[in-house]
Amino acid sequence: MASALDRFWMPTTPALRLGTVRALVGAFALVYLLIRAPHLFSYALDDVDRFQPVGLATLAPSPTLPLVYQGLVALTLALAVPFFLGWKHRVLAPLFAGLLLWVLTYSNSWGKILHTDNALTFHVLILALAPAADALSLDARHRPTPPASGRYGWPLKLMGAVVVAVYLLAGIAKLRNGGFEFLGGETLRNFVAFGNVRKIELGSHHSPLGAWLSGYPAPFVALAGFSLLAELVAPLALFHRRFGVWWSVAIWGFHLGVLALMAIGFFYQLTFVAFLPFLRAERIWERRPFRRLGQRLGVAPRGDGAAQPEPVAA
Amino acid sequence: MAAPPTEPDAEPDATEPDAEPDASERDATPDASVPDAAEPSADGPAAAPLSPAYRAFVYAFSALVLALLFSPVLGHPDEDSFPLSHYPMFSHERPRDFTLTQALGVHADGRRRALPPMVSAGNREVLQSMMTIHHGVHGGNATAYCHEVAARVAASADHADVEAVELATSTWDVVAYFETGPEPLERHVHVRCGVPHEGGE
Repeated sequence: MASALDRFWMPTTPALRLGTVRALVGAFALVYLLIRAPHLFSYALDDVDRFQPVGLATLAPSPTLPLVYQGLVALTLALAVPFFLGWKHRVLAPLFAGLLLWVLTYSNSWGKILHTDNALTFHVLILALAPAADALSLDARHRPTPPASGRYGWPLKLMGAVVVAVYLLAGIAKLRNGGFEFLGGETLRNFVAFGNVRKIELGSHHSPLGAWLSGYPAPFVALAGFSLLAELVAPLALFHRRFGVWWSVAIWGFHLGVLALMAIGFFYQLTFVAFLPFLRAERIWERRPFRRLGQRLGVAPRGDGAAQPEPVAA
Repeated sequence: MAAPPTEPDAEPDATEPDAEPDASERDATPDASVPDAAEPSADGPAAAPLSPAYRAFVYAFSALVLALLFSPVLGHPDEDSFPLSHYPMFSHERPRDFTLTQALGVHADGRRRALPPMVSAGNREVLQSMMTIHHGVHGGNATAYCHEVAARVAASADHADVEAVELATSTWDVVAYFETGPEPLERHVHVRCGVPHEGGE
């Protein structure tokens, strides 16, 4: 029994797979934080009346000093670089994960909680506490690649479980709060129209497609059924590899629909980085346009490509 | 945990239908326990067994993360947090009527247009700007907030033709908004203030 559970939760996995996921999640986090930096810095506020702490921020009785908060944001940005490169991972990665959690929690403590960063935050926390820099990292330079092991399997399984949980919880919330009425499509149609009106009336960009489609109730019946089904079957993605891949594609399509109809971008999902735990991520080094880079890093096959990837760390 | 050699994953990668099974990975299915000596590992020698302490850490940490993830289910449906959430978006019935407190720019010809988040709230994030406006209007000093917004309008080259700012609460039928037009069903203007354009009023 314990052995079966071990094989399920800690499947023997190449170190390069986990290293590749760390590098790609790290690259996403670095770029995302750089783009979001003005937004994050804008919460260097001392307005006690507006401060509505959530999560860890509830431990703080009042807003953090603006200068201290700005320093923490800057440090988070700086530590995203070693996380991406896999440098001094055992020390710096947990620090980065903790700071990311604090900065994103704090930025959500001003009255409106955004749900776009939840999976990223958990993924970084898991990777930070996992041996995710044993391959494809500065830490692994001049070292032989360690053999495939369950050490590299459980972090990906847990990251996959985080993604699954996000959608399963969303499905449960729909059934809990509205029952199967959601399947009628009207709720979803009203949400799409509402989201677009809200954006327009707050002076932001909206989706012309969603605005146009909100005049036609029928498509929303299909969209509601698809989204609820995809959410409720999410756990199966943990038990069957191929299903996990197709489920990831379906959820990616769902987010593409949200972007097209509501102009709301869940970029961690839209870039597919969120779904890497369901893929054999190390295979990107065998494909264009990553192949040449992979060869330089020593993780992609050379020549005609028939050979196995060289078991050499970056 | 020992890393027993088991059957290699028989399923090709869905992203690569004709791919050969991954030699460096062993299937995780519970019944795949047949050793496969014919499949060499691309990653060198077999891994050392994982220690009981490491396995205990993995299971304890995983259980903790999963328990935290699902803990919001035990809370009130309207409670939300970060990064733990029960993802209430789209879960409640959404009526067609929608009421919003907003910042409007009043143009010389009388047209009213919503001011963008950077002008209305000094923030790029649209949903955060909504909360800033709401707090600014209902927080007890709407007039001061109106002048704050007006100062940002005056500093914005894109809003040179905006003469005044109105902080208003408006209600729409969100479906009719796109079918018959964006006029609100009702609108209450809380406060109006002039824009201090340079050389102007």
